Amino acid sequence: MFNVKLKYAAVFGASLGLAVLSAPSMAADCTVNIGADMALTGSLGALGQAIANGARLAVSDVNAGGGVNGCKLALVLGDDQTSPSVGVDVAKKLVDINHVPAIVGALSSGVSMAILTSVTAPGKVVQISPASTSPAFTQLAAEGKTDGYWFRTAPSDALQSVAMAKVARDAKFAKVAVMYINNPYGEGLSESFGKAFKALGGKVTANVVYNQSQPSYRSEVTQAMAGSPDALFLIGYPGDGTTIAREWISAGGPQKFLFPDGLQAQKFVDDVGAKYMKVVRGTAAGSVETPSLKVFREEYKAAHGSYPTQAYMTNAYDAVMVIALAMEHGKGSTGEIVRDNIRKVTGEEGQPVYAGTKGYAKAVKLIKEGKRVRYIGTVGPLTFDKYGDVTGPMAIWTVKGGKVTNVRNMSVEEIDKIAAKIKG
Amino acid sequence: MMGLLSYLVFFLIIAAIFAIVCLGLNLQWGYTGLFNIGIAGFFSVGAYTYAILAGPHHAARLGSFGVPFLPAVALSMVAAGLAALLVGLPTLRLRDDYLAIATIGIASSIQLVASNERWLTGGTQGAQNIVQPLAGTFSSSLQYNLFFLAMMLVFVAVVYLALERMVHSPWGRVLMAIREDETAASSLGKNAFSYRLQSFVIGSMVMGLGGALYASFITFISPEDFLPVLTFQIWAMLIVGGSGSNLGAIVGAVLVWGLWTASGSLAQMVLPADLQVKGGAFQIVLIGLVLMVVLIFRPRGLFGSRKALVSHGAKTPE
Repeated sequence: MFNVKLKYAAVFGASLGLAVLSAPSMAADCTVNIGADMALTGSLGALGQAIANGARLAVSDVNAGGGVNGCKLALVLGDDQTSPSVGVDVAKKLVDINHVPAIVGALSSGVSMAILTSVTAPGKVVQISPASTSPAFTQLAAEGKTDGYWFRTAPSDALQSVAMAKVARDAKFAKVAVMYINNPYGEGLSESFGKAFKALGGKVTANVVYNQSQPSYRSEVTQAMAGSPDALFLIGYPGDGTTIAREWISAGGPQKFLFPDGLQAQKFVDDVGAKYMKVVRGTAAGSVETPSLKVFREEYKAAHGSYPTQAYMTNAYDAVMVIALAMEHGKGSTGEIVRDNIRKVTGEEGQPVYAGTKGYAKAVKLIKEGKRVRYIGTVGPLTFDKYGDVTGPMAIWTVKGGKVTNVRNMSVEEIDKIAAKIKG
Repeated sequence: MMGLLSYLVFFLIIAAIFAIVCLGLNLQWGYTGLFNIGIAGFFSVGAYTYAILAGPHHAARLGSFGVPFLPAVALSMVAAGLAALLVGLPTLRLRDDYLAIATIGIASSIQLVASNERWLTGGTQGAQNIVQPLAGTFSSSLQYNLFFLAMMLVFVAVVYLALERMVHSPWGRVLMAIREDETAASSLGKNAFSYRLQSFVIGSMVMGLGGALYASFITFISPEDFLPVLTFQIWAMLIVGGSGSNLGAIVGAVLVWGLWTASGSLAQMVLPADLQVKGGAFQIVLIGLVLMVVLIFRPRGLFGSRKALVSHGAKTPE
């Protein structure tokens, strides 16, 4: 009797043990939470939902590829309503109640900054923004106020302005009028463009700011036309951008345009009228066509039916990926581990690993083998400098036959060379 | 447990800041019947004044006066009061709806000035690195937040007691008389305009106090903090709590801010995974629904008694 029971117990125990061991990609009962604090409503809400979907896609890829340190990755998503006070509250909840080591967010620079100063930096939680491009963050990091917890996967506008200045000079524009939207994006880009363009020998004849949602921009356009510029550099978003472009054209302004990433939209070109968009040069965050981007596009389309042409979904995907890889590399999931390991899974050395379920699973395998990997993001290779900023190539685009077309990519090296020339 | 405590402390601090602003609105609307839809404007004047006075040196904008905490807060109140004076002198002769429209315009103008005058406010980049009182003294951020909460409770208590004294005094009774029937009050020789102006200025100073405390806690402000939705939130707080009651203003602030934040967590818990991104819209629907329900079942709010009694204990027919 006793022997049989013992035998049963042994067999039972052994099979239980085998069952537990043989559940490799099936995440055990542990879950690692990471937070996302984004604008799902409010003025950036229209963009925010697709961006949040980008982040969620990364989480499902990570889980299908084996999870993080054997645990399931869960995304706790909160809406900041494009409001700093709400965003800060959501972030505080994520840190205190959900105990997240990292937050992907926010989109608006104003909301990101409030969260960074009052919740994530003091709370020792990593914050990676996929869309906040204000140069103010670089300054804050340089002053040592972020403790290294701040990163962003969207390049600061300092880069785009250098590329734009070069593009403008290449198109033989000697005098350019700048009209920019009144927000950190517009201010930052116009200011750094002015510096770069002047250093390359050009002249900014007017620097006119405009506020959003006005029914008419006649006076701003008239101001901008003073000084007979060769072209207009319009910084803004498609809604008001269309109004301004049309008023510029009907006021007789030269039909030569420079557009940044905010206006890289087919709808914008169609609304203004393709026949006026014959001489257009544009810049946007480039994505070197890596396998990562291809995988992301396919997966997003499969999950949501269509692939919207808007920015920052890819940046959100990459933010989640680098967090997951950092946790694997550091074999833990605290804010400090994530902070200290992000640069160890990105950068210039190591074997390239890509996006997607297979890409992630391969990366985890290599990390477990002790190999150095570098994640090639959906936006391209990622290298975070000491202030958490990332560089990347710039796409140069134009309008050909009424269609927005990419011409070429300006590589990081080329941009660095121009930036050095401007400084020196 | 610690996490929950830490979050609650944080939540109460923000709720207390809004409670102070709501007390200011209660003086203007609850007691004097002034329809102020420009709350965000006075709140921002207080916040930016504090940022300019107490902030560190900033290359791009005015700042670095390095004024210590309490004087900076006091001066922020004065600035908000001055703004109210400037606004009140021409507009307080208007009644009700006209005053409301004028104040909406004022708040928008102040927000646009804040967005555009970079030398003054840092423009849309905002004002960063604002100094917190006693910043380096505590070893953990939880301890610091507990201290800040204690300080906030003191502020709320002081403002509450001061306002209670003011409204339960002859001055307060004149305000209520003006609110109920201005012609009758004027016929008794009370200069209605002067009392309304006093109430407007004092209420705005209290709002400016809230703004300064907000700036000192979050240490970063930008024009996005002062959008019209803030005005709506404070009004909702007062209506739910009960206009005409200072206690109602405080309770309403905690409840409505709680509703605003809890609805987010609720949305996240209730919605299935693919609808998570629609959580924000769901949250806003929920907020609207609760506010409507409160207004239907308790139109005077929790503590309100708009058919106010003129003096303590006196009975008036409804």
